[in-house]
Amino acid sequence: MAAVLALAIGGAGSISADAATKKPAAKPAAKKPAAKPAAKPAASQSADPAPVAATTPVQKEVAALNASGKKFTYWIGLIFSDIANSAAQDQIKSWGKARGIQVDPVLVNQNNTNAQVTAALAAGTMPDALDMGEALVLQLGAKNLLNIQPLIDEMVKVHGGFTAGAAPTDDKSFAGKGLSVPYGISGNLINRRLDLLKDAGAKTTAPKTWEELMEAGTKTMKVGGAGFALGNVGDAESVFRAQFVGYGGRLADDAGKKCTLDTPATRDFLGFVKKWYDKGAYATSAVTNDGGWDNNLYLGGKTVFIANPGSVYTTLLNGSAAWPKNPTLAKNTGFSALPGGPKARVAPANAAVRAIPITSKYPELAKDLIRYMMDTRNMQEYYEWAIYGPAFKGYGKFNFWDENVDPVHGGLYDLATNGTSASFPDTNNAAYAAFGGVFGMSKMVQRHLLDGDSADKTIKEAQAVCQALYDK
Amino acid sequence: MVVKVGRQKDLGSKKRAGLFGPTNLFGYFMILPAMSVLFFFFAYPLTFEIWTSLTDANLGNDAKFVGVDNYVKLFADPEFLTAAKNSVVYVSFVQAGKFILGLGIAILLHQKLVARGFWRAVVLVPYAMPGFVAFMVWKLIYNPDVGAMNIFLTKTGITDAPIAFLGDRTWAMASVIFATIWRGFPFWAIMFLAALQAVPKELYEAAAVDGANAWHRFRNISLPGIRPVILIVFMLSTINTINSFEAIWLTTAGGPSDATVILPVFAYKGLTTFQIGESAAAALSMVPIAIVIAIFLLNKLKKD
Repeated sequence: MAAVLALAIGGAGSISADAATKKPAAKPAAKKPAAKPAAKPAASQSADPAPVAATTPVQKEVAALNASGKKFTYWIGLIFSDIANSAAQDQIKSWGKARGIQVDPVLVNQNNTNAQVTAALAAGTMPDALDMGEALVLQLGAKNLLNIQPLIDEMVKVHGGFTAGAAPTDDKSFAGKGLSVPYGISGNLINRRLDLLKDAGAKTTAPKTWEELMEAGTKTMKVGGAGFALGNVGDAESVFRAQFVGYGGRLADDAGKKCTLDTPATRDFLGFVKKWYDKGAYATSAVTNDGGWDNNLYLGGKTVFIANPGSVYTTLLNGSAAWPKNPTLAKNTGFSALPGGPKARVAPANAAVRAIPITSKYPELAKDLIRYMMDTRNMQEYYEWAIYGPAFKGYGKFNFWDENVDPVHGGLYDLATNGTSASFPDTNNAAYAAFGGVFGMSKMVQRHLLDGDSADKTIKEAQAVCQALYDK
Repeated sequence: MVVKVGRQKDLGSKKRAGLFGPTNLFGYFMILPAMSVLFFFFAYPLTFEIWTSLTDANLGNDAKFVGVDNYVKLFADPEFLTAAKNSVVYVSFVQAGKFILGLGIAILLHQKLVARGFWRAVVLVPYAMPGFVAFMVWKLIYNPDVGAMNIFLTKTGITDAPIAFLGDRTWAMASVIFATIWRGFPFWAIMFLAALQAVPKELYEAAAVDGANAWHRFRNISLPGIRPVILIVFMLSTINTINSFEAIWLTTAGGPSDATVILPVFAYKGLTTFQIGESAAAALSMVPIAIVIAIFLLNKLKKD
């Protein structure tokens, strides 16, 4: 799989898909208990926070916090793994207990983080530390987030340096440098139904190009086709972005100042989506605002292809509140990297990061907590259940990253170590991040597909919105 | 009479002189808690929002006063104009639907029905249900893959293929309007029912003796009798619907494309993209509409 995810910024034909075509090794069911792990995992035993002298800044903040009678608040970025979410909560509670303070670990739906942060900033109720994405780091900037470069440098030293997926967060060109510690790398893998493809006479091997995938999607229309969202959801945005870049598109020039949407590449991308939409390759319910739509479609056996960071496979193996375990479907699922377009093939990797608002009254405690959560054993416990690849090379030693042990974790590891920045080839700046929220690829596609706007009109509108954001 | 007038004059002058007298100061003191609540929960947030709408506030930058720039930008923004147009369509149809259904059901429940109490309770169910649950249920009902509506339509042969009620521009707004009416009509029905019960029965009996048929009795007795309630319910519900967010957000989030974006959704989207100043302006753009409707209806009530 490493070969598949290995960047591939070149002709799609040059991409080897050998490992991706492999049927994933069946994951030993016994490896993962369905139940939540013990409240106090063994890993935490040696991950207890180091004792601090009474005169240290941490201890002073402990005294101040206790005197105030308030709780130390942390916003955890909710992911599609109840066990990983609970593990993060338990770690914060363990840390609070060891420090002798009250903590409030709040699970925040990551779809709502932007709105919640905006409201909290206006109301002056930001937490003491929180999880977020790179885009939000850029939006908040140094005026709202504490510079924690020394802590980042410490993590780099302790945990063996950044993986490729996390490195862009510390790049000099990244406007958010020094403001956050990356803790997980996420990105999509294509999940495909091997049995349905075979029944329909379509190729069961990993599709190398988007055209190839959509062709197979039309052959399997009766059993669900391609489960890619067309609505206002992050899933749609990430797939469109990969396709857009695959067709040679980019949002702005190298300087990150001039919007470059009005190009033949954007027309080619829109043409590609329209062609397959008109052929009926997308599911009837694809225009959705439900972020879990594609997952549920696949788990319900109603589609053949989806792009997913691993939560579906985890659910198939372990079940969830809504879905029972489904080892048969897991066995019939093949995984591969995102296909490419005629110009490029990318493996977009997003970093999830931890940051400290500048308004935090307890910055030393916040650093102490991040240091604790980033402890190797705590991260091992978290990663085993989460749908993130490692942010630091030192975390790469866990056995579950082996694709023969766990194909999804193997894929995520590959993504973290070989993937490209999610913004590639664009410069990841505030304007880039804002475009994704204000207009995005999804709206551009919807204008063309659903509103009936011509490609020219659609691109003109998108270009105008984009340039206005870059001008700001 | 002369003495009385004189006393009245005296009273009037005393009133003016005593505006800040000890008795009135005590009165002000008594209303201070209520005024404080009003100030903190109404005046302060409103003033703050108006101020924010006059700045370029967004995340990462200090807010600078920009005058009415945000409003100028808004009215030049095609998406805002679409949202305003959608809001008019949404509110008009939802209110008309609630009125017709609410009044119809109220009249029905006013009749001598078997198990009338039971039916009155049943009618309240959509309104008693949390909005979140109600609209998520409608989202499921409309689902093209597993939704009850499409199963019914395809099994009965009414349609050959499932309809993307929430994903197709043609259907999306109508579908959301229908769900909103379903959720909101019980409030109207119960209010109208209570008003109908307060209309004196003697009026109906007298009209019947005079030979008035059912339509005449409804037109000339029931409707004028419940008119004040209609106006109040209409005013409260319209303001509520203008500001409604959950129905659209939970079902379509404003999509497909911008087919169901209404002003509150537009304002919320501004917030999620950190354009706080512009978002505040968008939110405030709804206030004058609500005020105009309220003044119009209150005047009608006053005349009545």
